[in-house]
Amino acid sequence: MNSAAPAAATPPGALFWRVRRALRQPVVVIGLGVTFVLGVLAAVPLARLIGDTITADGGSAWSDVLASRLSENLFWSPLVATVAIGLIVGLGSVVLGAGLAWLVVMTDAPGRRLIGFLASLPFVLPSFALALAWESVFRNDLVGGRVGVLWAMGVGVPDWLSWGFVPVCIILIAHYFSLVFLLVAAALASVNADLTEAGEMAGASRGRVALGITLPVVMPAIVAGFLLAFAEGVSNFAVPALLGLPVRFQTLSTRLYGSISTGQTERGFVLAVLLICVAALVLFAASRLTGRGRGYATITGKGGRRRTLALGRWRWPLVAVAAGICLATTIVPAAVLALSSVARRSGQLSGELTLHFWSGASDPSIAQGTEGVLRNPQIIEAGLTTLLLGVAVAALSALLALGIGYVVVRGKGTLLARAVELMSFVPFLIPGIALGAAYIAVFGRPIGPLPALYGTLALLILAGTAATLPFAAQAGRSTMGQVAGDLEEAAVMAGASMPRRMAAIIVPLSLRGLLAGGVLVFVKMVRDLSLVVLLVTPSTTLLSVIAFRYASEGFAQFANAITVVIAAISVGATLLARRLEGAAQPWAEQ
Amino acid sequence: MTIEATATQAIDLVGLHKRFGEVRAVDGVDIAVPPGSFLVLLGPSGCGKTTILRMLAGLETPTGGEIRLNGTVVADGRRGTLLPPGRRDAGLVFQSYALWPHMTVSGNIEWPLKVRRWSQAARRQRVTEVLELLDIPELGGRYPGEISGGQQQRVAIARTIGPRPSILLFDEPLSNLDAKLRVEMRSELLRIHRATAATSVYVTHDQVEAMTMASHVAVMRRGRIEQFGAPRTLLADPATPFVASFIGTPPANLVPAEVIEGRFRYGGVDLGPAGEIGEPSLLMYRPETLQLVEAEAPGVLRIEFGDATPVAGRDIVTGWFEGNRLTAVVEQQPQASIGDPLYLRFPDRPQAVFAHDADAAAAIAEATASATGSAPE
Repeated sequence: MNSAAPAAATPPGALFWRVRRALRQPVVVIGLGVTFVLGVLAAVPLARLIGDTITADGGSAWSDVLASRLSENLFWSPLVATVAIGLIVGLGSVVLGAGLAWLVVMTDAPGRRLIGFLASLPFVLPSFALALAWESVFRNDLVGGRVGVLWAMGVGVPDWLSWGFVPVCIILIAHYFSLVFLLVAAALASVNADLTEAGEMAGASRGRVALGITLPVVMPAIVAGFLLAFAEGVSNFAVPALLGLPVRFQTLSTRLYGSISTGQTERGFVLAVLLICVAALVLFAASRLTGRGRGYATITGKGGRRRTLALGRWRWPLVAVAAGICLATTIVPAAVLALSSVARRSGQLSGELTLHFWSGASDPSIAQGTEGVLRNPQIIEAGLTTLLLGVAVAALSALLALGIGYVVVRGKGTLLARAVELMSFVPFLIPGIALGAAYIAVFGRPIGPLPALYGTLALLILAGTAATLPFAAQAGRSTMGQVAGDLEEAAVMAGASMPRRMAAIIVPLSLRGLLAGGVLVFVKMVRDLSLVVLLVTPSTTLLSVIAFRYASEGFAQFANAITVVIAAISVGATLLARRLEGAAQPWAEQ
Repeated sequence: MTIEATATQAIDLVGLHKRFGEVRAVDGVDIAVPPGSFLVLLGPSGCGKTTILRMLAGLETPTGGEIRLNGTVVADGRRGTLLPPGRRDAGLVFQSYALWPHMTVSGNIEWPLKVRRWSQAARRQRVTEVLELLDIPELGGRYPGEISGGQQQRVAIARTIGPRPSILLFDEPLSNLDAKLRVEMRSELLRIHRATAATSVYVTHDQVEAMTMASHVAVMRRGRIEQFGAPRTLLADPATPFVASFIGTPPANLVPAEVIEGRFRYGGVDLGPAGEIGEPSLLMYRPETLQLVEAEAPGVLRIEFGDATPVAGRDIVTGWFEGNRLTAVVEQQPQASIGDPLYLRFPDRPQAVFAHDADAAAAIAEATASATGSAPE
C-alpha cells in the first residue's frame, strides 16, 4: 500500500481482487473457454472468408461477380432463383406444416397420432433422398441418360416438372414442412383449453377464438417455422444440384460450388459472402418484425387439458389429404428408392429385379463394372468415415452444448453469456456450403506451425461442429434450463469442486437432453451434403458425397442404394435415441 | 460492542452490503449472535433476507462490509469470498429442497460426506443416524421423485446436517408445505436445532414462525434492519411502525391521530395527552387492549363490523373506520352482520407512539400486504 498516494477511487490491489473474484466463478472460466472455441470455430472462418475476398487476388472477384459481363449468370439470376425458392419453400412449409399440426393437435381426426408420427419423419431423411426419388419417377429424356418410371411407361413428363424450379420447390417443401409441423404442433399443444374456454365464456364464437386467441399464441412458432424453412431453402445445395445443374438452373449455392470446384476460389468466396448476406438479412429483418411476439412463448409453457374440434363430415376428406401428404413425403419416396436400387434398369420398377447394385461383384456389362455398394471397399470405408464423423461431431457438440448451456443459463444477463449466445447462433446464418468455403479459406493452407487441415477428417469434424453449433446451443440451453440452479448450489455447499459438480450433478441431470441433442447432430451430419461437399477429398470420402457423385454420373441405382443406407442409419439413430432417453433416467419413471 | 464479545460470536455481520447493479439488496446490515442461537431473518419478499443467507452460505459475495463466522473473516467487500462455501462449516436447506433427483435418499445424504472424504463405514453409520433422527429410516432407497413434499423436506434437512455443520442455514424451508405440516415441522426443526447444537439462521416471511422458533429476530425491510431483538421484545416494544404492523397475531393497530390542544384525537374520540408531540402521530394499540362496548358513549369509537374469526376460545373482530382497519380480540363474538355498527373503547394510553410520515404509511402498507398475502413467494 502506498501511503503517499492520494485518496484514489480505486485503491491499489482492487483490480487484482476483482479479477480473482471473477476467475473464481465457474461461469466466467467456462465462458472464456467456450468463447475461445466459438471464436475458432465460427468467427475466425467467417472473418477469414470475408478477408480473402478483399485482398489483392479477391479484389477483382467482387467486380466479376457483381458488375461484369458474367454477373448476370454468375450472381443476379441465381440470386432471384434462390430468393424465390426460399419464399415459396417458407410459405409452402407453413401451409402444410401448420395445417397438419392443427389437424393433429386440435381436431378429432382419426389416426392423428400416426399422421403426427409420419409428419415428423421427412426431416430425418436426407433432402437428396427425395430428389433422387423424384428423379426415379419424373425424370424425362431432356438431358439423356436414364429416365424415370413415368417416361419409361410412355407418359410425356414436361420439362418444367422434370427439372429446375418447380421440382426443387416441391422437394424442399416436402422436406422442410416437418420442421414447421414440429414447431407449431408443440405451440398448439401448449394452448391450454382454459385459454380458449375463457374466450368462449366471454361470448366469442369458435372462429373468433381461433383467430383472436389460438392464432396469436402460435404465431411466433409459425413465424419461426417460416424463417427456418426459408433459410434452409435458400441454403440447400443437394436438391438444386441434382435437379437444376443438369439443365443449368442455378442457385447461389450451386454457383458457389461450381466456382470453387473449378478453381475460381475467390469468386466462390464472394458468392459465399453474398449468400450469407441474403440469409442473414432476411432472418434479421423478420426477427425485427416479429420481435414483439416472442413474449408469448414463455407464458404458454403449461400444457394441459385440450378440447378437440369435431370435424363432422370433413373428417375423412381432411384425413385423406393429410395421409396423402405424409405418405408422399415418407413411405412413397423410401419405397421408390428401395425398389429402384434393386431394379436392373432404372425406370422400370416392375421389370427384372436384382441385388447386383447392393452385393454384386464387378460385371463389365453393368454400370461400367462397378461393384455393389456392400462390396465396394471405397463405399464401406466411406460408411465408416461417415459414422466416425457423426459420432465425433455429436460428442463435441454435446460437450459444447454443456458449456454453452451452462454459461448462457447460469450467467444470464451478463455480457459474457450474451456474447456466447450470439456467437453460437452465428453459424445459423451461414449456409452449409458457404461455411465449407470459409473452412477452405482458413484451413486450406498451413497456419503457423500447424499443417493445412484440408483433406483430413479433423477438418470435417471441426466444420461439422461449427455448423451444428446452433443446435448444440439450443439443446444446451433448454437442458441446462431444466437443471435448477439450487441443485448445483447444494453441491457447492457440500464442498464439491467444479469438475466434481459437473461429473456428479450437472452431467447426469442433463444427460438426457445432451443425448437427444447429440443424436440430432449425428443425424444431421450423416445426411449432410452441402457442408461437406467442398471439404471431402478422395481420402476422406463420405456416403452422401458418393451418392451425390453416383447420381451426377448417372448411376442412379448405386446412388439410391447408398441413400437407403443413409436413411436407415438416420431413422435407426432417431429410434435408438428415443430408447436411450427412456433408459437414461430411471429415476424419472413414475 | 466490545472486542471480546465479537471474538466469541458464531455469526457476526459488520456493515454488510450487497448490490445487484443499481439495486441495493442489502444496505448496511449489522447482526451478531452467539453460538447456539436460533436467528430468524424476518421480512416481506424482496427485503434482502435471502441475500444475507446466501452470503452467509458463500453463494453470494458481499459488495461491502464483512462476514465473520466463529471469529474468522470468511468474506468481505473488497477481497470477495475468502472461504468458499464448502469450507465454512455451514449447511443450507434450500427453499426448493434441491434434492438431487438422480440419487436415492441415502445417496443424497451420503454424497456430501463422500466429497468430504469420510470413510465408507463412517458414511454408512452417519446416513443411518440422520435418517433415524429425522424419523425416516424407511425412505433410504427411494428417489426424491417418489416421496411426498413433507418427506422431501426431512431428507433435505438430513442431507444438510449429515456433515455436522456448526451453522445451519434455512431458506424459507416450510413455505412449500401445507399449514398442518408446517406446524409439525416447526417443532421438528427446533428439536433438530437442539440435537445438533448448531447455530441456526432461518429466513422467513412468516412472523408466526419467527415468534415460535427464534432466540433472536432481525426484522428486515428494503435491505435494512428495522429491529433486532428477542421475539418478545419485538412484540412488546416495537421500534418502528413497520415492526408494529408486521409482528403479532393479529398485528397491532396503528391509529392515525391528530393532535388538538395537546391531546390525541381520532374520529372525534379523545385518546389521551400528547405530551410534547405536536404532529399527527400513529398510536399503537394491541388488539387485546381494545374492548367492544354495547352503546355509544364518550371516548367510544363507532366502527363498521367487518368479520370475526374464532381463535382459541376467543374472537378476532375486524371493523372499519374511515378506511382504516381496526382489530380487537374479544371474549364474546358480537351478534352483528357486515356493516352493522360496533362500539370500540380504547385504553387510556396507547402502547406506543410513532411519527406519522410518508415512510410510515408505506411501511404499514408493505407489512399489511405481506401479512395478508400469506405466501408471497
